[in-house]
Amino acid sequence: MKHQLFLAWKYLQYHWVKTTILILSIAFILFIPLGLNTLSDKGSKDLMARAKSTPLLIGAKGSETELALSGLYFKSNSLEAIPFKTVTEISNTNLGEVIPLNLEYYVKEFPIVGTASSYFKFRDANFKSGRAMAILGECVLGSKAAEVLGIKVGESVISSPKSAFDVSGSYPLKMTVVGILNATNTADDEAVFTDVKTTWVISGFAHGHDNVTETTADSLLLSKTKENAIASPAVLTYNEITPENISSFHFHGNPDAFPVQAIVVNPNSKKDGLILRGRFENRTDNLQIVVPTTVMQELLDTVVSVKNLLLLAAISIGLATLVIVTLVFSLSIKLRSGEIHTMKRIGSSKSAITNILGLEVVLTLALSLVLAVVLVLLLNVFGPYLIKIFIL
Amino acid sequence: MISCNNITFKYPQSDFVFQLKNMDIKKGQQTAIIGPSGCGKTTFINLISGILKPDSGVISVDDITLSDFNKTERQDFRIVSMGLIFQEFELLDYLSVFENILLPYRINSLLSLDKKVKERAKILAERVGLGDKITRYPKQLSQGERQRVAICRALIAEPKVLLCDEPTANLDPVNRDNIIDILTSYCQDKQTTLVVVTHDHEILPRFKSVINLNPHSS
Repeated sequence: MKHQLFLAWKYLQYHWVKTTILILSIAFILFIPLGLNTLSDKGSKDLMARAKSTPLLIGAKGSETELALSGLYFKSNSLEAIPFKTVTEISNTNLGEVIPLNLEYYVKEFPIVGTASSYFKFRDANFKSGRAMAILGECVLGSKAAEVLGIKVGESVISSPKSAFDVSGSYPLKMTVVGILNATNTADDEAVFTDVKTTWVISGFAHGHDNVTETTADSLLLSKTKENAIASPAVLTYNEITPENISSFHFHGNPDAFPVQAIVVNPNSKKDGLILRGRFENRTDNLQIVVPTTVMQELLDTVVSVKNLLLLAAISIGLATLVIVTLVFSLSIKLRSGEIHTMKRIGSSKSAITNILGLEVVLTLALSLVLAVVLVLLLNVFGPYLIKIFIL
Repeated sequence: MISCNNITFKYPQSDFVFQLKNMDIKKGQQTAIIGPSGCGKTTFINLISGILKPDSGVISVDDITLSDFNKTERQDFRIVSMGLIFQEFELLDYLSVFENILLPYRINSLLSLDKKVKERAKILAERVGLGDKITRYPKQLSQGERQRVAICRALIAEPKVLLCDEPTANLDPVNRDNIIDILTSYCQDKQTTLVVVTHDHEILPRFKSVINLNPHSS
């Protein structure tokens, strides 16, 4: 058998172009269904794990999927805002823990999550270094965000403008990094967490500047009376919150109306969760409550349907490839009839020739299988990244 | 060494009938087989090599009655005792010169490939002037060189009989003489029985015995 394997290998090696094409064709045909299964299984596990750890999400009425994806993965900044008073309202029901999420801004490609420090306890997140944000202008980085940005505790990050042409929009805010989280292989790794009030500073609902009632520079004032001073546009607002200027920061408007994009609710019990859901069923305002596991399951059902269709297509293509591969091998045997005849005439047995030809097929299939398995293993490694790109 | 008695053979669906009354070729004898096209020269080679089995008559090689053997036994006998050289060389294009020479050892388990055999393959290649080309592939060789590889392949198992079917038909005169030199000198040295089927009458003087298969010849 050793010698027959040698001859089979030499044939495949000499005709390497044909062999490579065959191996690639068969490997891809094996890889497509295996890879699809791996990707969808991994995707399902990751999506459901995150959804399971987030019992309820509240947001503006509209797409449930978008609310769930935004609340779980911080991916969308197109979500309609709801007023902060909803957070207070649900909190007052004492039905569960309430965590606001403001998802409007980014630091480069990393979303800024305006939330409360209770978020870290809720997610069971541990600090690799530092602590949670405590005052306005402080932030905590997810492990990957810290790694990519190359930031350590004590350094700072600057929020990005919403768009390059947003000249009248939010000012960039320099935030001090006070903590970095351990890696969790979730969306938290790529987020910049800050207090929800800090995101309102970025929005312009709050700001800090020199005390205009004490200034004597006329250029900074439009008018001044004993009771009131009206600042001119020449008064510059601070773009960094420091211990020196933090006391000058103040809110304009009613904080109850300030925006959040989603609210995570962790009900005290199943019953409390049901009560809360029941209350939202009857609401007529612009609010909805979603159960992330249900939404994700629906999304996964769609993914599974698409996967099944793709599998069907892959099986059809696989069968066609099998027929073509069989044709290639049978044509190859026909083309090699002279060589087979020579071996017989020299003194080779029929079984030896059958073994050589069979081993060529086995080697080709084995190499294809190895390649397909390598591709599936690579997909296992890069799967989460692909899921992020193509699904989330 | 080779003995044929009252041989008849007919190909299925053909009118041609090969007949041979008596013929004896002695051990170490160098014999040329001639005859007009279609007289059965190749059939004769195929019969005494055991590739074909006669419908009647007896063929013996080295006192072994080949015509009594079944197909597998004839194959085994052939690979151990006979070397065959064909008109078209019939080398495997995906094997190097060295690997082509060793081919008989890789297609039948009766022959055992070891260091000695590999050394012998190198010596044979040297002897036919291919010592520096053993890593080349058939496509990189001239016609004459390819036939020399085929000769080495036929001789590697040190056969008792060397059967050649038109070995010089595709060669120019220089290469033809060279090939005949190699065949006759090797068989002389090793006392190997040489049977060469040919239509080239110019090489006949090189053989001690010439058999004409023309049924009308005297």
